[in-house]
Amino acid sequence: MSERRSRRWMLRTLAVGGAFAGGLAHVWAWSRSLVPNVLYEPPKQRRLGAPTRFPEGTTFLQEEKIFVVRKGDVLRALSAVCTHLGCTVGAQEAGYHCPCHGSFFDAEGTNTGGPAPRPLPWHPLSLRGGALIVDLGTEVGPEITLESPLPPEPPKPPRGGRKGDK
Amino acid sequence: MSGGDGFFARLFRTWLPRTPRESSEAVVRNIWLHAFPARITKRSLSWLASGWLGTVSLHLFIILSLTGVVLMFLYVPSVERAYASVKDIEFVVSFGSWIRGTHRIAAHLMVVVVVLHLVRVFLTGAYKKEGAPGAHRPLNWLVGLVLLVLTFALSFTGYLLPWDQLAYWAVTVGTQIAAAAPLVGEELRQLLLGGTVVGQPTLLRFYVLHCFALPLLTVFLVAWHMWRIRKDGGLAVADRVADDAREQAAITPPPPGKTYTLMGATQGGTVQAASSTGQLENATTPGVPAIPRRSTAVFLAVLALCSVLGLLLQAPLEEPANPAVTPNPAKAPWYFLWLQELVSILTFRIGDFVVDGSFLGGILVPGLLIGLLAAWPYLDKSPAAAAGIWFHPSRKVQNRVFLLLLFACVVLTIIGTYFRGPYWAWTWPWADAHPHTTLT
Amino acid sequence: MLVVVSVAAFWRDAAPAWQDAQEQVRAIVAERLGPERAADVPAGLRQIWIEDLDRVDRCITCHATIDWGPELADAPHPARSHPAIPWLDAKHPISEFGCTLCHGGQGTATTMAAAHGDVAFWEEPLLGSQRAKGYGLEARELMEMACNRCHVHEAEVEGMPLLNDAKAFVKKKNCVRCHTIFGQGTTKAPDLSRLGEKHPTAYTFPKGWKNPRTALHWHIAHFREPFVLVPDTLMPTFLLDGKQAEGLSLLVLSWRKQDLPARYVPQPTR
Repeated sequence: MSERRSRRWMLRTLAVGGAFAGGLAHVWAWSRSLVPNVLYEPPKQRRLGAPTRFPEGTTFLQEEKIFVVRKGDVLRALSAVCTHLGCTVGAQEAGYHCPCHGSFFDAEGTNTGGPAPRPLPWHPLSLRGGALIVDLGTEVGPEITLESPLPPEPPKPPRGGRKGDK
Repeated sequence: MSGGDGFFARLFRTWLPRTPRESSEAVVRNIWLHAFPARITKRSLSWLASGWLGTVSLHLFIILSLTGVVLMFLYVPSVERAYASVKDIEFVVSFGSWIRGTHRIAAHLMVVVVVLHLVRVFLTGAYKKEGAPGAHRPLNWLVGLVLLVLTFALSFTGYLLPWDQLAYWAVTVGTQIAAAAPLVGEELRQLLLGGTVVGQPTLLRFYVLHCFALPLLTVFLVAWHMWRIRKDGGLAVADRVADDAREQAAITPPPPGKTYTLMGATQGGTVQAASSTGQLENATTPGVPAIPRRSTAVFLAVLALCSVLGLLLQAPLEEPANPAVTPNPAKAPWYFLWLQELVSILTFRIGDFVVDGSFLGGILVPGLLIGLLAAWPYLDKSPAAAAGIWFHPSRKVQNRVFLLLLFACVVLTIIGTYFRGPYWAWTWPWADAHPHTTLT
Repeated sequence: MLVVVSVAAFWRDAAPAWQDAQEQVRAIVAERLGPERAADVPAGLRQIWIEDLDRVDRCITCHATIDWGPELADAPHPARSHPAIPWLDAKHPISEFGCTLCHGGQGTATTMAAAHGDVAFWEEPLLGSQRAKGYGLEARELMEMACNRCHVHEAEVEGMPLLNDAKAFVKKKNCVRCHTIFGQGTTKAPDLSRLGEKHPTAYTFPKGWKNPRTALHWHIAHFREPFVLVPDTLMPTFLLDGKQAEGLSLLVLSWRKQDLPARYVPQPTR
């Protein structure tokens, strides 16, 4: 290969390579733009209002998709999202039943029947400024509880009344 | 280029043919290359003959389609979310500002380049009807005119989508001009708007037109436009090459037993079939890889230009659309400003009689211009030899009139863009007519 | 050329302006609270989305430690935390009100100039101390205008002394004798109920206007000497003292249509 020819070859390779690299960069930029940098979703930490609004037993909050379970002064929050394919489970007498594919969970969220592969997770509760906060982004075991300093009162309209939870 | 017959060499054989035979086979074997002719005259390929403006237009359309699809994933066509989603594209989407800027610049460039393409075709007389069987260039000129109108329509419908003050009022003014059309004007405007004012139905209509209906129509017409070029025997300048070859052939008769390539044997008026002389063969070159190679180079240059400008020039986004507050002045998109300027110039009173400028300037003048352009190939009586030649002496007068009209449009556009301030009064571009006013 | 553009675009995308601000915050936190706390400064683009109000505020991307409480209360911006105000946490949690509802500015923006609203085509800039100084006010006084967009029907609101006085003045001088305000009054003078919606560009400033062209400056001048701005006006010239003109101007500018979801409507404090 002569000197001139190899020079030509190099220039051509550079040009073709540059074109490929530039084109690839554009395709990458277009694809990357579709990966969201911010999410239009409610925050994972949600205010649930005063602990006193939750009576003894199980209260379903449909917006947060959780059951708030009170036993005396002890409050816990159980996820209502089925571990099978994500439908919302409903409270039954002895536990929770998923309407989609018939999974059963007992009162502690343990999967006892149907296709659900794991127990329902629990979410940690905390108190801030007199309001109950649930952290939907964290999963804990059933033993994590919150001692409510206030005993339940007879039901009354909650503060402000968040959209959807009555 | 390395020789040998490795896997890649075989894979790219049709793209990088090494012999004339492989070149002509490429056109048959490769679906992407079949649009190209087997042979093309060297003069058709030259940058000066056409400026490759049609190719540039197509490439701009491709860039617009690619960036447009990306933007479709990010944009929400609702009056509540449209403006905010464009803000998101500007502020939080990775490369969003760049993609939007590139799309916008490519759109503006496409209007410019398509008009320049028309200018080139006119000045070279490339729309002229000629005798070759199957060739009918005036038809392709008409298809091109429709594509020009489609380009304006695509740009105009996209103008509304950011749903800011600029968009809202430009479309209000633009559609009001449509209402000046006789008999059906108001109905036409309301059909466009999906109501009596610019609102959610308008946004949705413009969105569907911009992203689906008009691009689809454009794709079909571009395909037809390009197929017609082949059908008409290539660029008009190719006919001149064939003439020259024929003249030469008359002097020196063709060598006996000369055959031509398979692809030349199509029925109709292709250059190759019209004359299969050695002279013509010297004046031509295999279409593949010459055309795809140059086309790719043009595409890369266009993409690079759009990307640079898209990166450097921030696409504007004014305040959210506010039907209660009209910016002063409210201007149509720049490519319609010559019309808006005409409308304002042609509205005047003679005694009690008010001349309706919006009909004259908005409908009559552009309608006449389009009509004249459409009819011109049939009215142009210059000889066939003038086709494909820049500024042919036989077309001196019509070229001058054409350029004068074009110049008038350009001047009116410049006046409308830079010299019109509040109340459409004459303003110098350097006068700061609008100091920024804020609430606090 | 294509390669150069691509590199430039990637460069710009890799180093957005807000990252510098986050670095600043991290440096300030490291200096004041130690490097291990600096690691806790939230990174990346963040936003507060308030679905019910259809607002999104990205201020916390740069002001990343706004909720860190007293330990950063006197730190320099952008690391300074929000001052503790009794009615803030209980009644106006940031998660439900965001930032720009009270402070102004452009919530969607992620560059400082754009976010603080110091750009063309953004009419409601940040109600900050710099801007307030131009009127001889404190930032919190300027912000009372924002407070009153919701608290418009209350005569007395805690933390709004300037506008409480202005409301008392409106009552005492019986402005509704000529004007109509929220459906009450007469038509001798313009209806003021939605004066705050008048677009800033719709104000005409007289020749030789020295102040910045803002709606607020216009109203302050107008309250002091109405006839200077509107020569044939019927409005009397009140002898306003101190900050009365500022307070009244902020009050009228706060009057605009405000569609609030039920839970955002202020409960009357009386």
